[in-house]
Amino acid sequence: MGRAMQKQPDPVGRGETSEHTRTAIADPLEGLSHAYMRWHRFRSNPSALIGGAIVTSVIILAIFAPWIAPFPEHAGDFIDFRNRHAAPSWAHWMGTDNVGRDVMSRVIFAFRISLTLVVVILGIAVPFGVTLGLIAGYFGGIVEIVIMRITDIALALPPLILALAVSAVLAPTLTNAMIALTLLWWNWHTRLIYSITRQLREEPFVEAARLMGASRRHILFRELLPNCVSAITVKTTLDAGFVILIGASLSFLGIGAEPPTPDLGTMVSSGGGYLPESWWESIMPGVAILYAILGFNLLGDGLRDLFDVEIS
Amino acid sequence: MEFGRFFVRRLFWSIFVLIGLSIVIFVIARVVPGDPARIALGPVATAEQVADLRAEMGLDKPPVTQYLTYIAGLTRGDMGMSLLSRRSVSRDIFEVLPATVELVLFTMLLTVVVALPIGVVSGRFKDGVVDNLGRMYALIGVVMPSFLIALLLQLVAGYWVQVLPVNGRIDATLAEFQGATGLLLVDSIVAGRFDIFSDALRHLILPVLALSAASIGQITRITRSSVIDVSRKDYIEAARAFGLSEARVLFKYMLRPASIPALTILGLEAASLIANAFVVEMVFSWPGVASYGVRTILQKDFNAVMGVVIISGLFFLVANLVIDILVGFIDPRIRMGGRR
Repeated sequence: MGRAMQKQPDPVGRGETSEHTRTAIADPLEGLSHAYMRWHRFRSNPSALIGGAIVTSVIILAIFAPWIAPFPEHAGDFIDFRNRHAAPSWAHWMGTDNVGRDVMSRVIFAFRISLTLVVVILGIAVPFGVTLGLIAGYFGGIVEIVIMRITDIALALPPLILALAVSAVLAPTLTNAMIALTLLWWNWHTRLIYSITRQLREEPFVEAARLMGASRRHILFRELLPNCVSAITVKTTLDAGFVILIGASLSFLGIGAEPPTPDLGTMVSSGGGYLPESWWESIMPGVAILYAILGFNLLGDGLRDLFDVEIS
Repeated sequence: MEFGRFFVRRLFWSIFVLIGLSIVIFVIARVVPGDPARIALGPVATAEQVADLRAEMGLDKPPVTQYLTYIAGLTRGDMGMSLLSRRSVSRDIFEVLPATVELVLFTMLLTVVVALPIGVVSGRFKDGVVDNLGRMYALIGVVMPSFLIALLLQLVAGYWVQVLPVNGRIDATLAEFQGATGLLLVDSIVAGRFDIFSDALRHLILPVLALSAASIGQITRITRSSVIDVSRKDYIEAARAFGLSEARVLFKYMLRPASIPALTILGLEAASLIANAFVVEMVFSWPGVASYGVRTILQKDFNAVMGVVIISGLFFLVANLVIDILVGFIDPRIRMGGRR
């Protein structure tokens, strides 16, 4: 089922090399440093720029949450019943929740959970999936068949549902949700890298390395992997948005961080009980999720244009 | 018969995937620590009671035997007994299945009806008004969590404007209506009860809108880009040179090849549709498989969880099978075993 990549392989390989040749033809920025040219191209791509700004802001909010949040103590089990269900105001920009905690402070702290999910899940699943994809694409034969058939089976299940099942069987906690999602995430990267590697394996530079007696490990990680880097970067950026989305959906359904730790999905679901009067308790965290996902998506789309790669 | 062989090949692959799936789920559900019998009976049950239930459920046998027993039951439509309700899991699931099928099929239908024409027009008139609006909608649809759309729709159309119902499948006063298929829209027409038909339809609108946002966005994007690809082909040039009308070129010669990637993606989308259905059903208290699934998952009802996962996987595979066959009809190269 090779619907992933239909583009012909770039004769000089992807990434660094192709960019050199393209800029060599006619580039008004000729003579400037490579890094500066990259920055210039990034800057003139509105999608990448806005996405990059949003992602940066989310990361800064998450890291410096205790200093940025107006009421850091509200991220815990703080209670102020006199102030419950207060509408958005100057003091509480996103209103307060059912026990009087500042929604905005909790949203800012909740970004920490979302980004933890992203780093842990993609940090484990991406290298694993990429390695499998390289192996399947380069070696072919029975190895390819076994790996790709397992990948197809793994693709036949909605990650959210399998994650629900796995984390429910263990216990509905954040850690288990992370384990479940990590177990499920590698297959998309395997598919992507497999389709690139399969096209590259007959390329002269791979042939040359093989003839010079390079080890399999050298060919996989030094010859083939660098040609996949831009595709992996784009895919991982887009994935970060989906991880946040699925993490929020899981915690919305009751599998996530233990209260009182602020978690965006949990906030949406518990706030949903106070619709329509206290709409801000669910909608504001929902919009925060949207903001983060939008950032990663715009950045991913922008990078895709910059690197000129196709991701299925 | 070429098409027959194509069909058999696809069917065989689907069964193979389903077996793989069942093994994965079985390993997760049974080999993981925690005694299902103990969980079902609670902490006060005596050791003998637990042992009895284990024997009754076949849990004392080796895992491989358990798996084969389960698979043998599955082929007869028997998914074992729910640990909590003590009823047959298949009976439970088939009670809630029609609600979800109605929701998801309607969503897929709406997706095709809305996304294909918008995608074609966007691709043909690139950077036009429709294209820009469509692209904006596609971006929002893809990045917006379905529970947020669901809540916003509930808030706006259900509470503020109060035009549509926000909970359940049917009004409580009409709830005793029972049909043969369980699909309210079909049953009510068969029975000639148009009051029920319109009520069920009104209940369906908001959940379908919430569920379809992402897939409409995706399919519009795919159709648009494949129309742009196709419009550069020589045969389109030739069709225009022959003096065919623009509508004919657009909907006969461009839509057909452009719809293939769109349909293929729609099949893959079925997975995320089911997943999003879990969330949307929760928001709208839709009495479907997903609500049942979340309930049983949170209560650690193993057989029921397995049943829900198998049914979800089965739905995904059937949807893909149907779509592959459809694509085979549209594109003769695929059913002849050629390469795209």
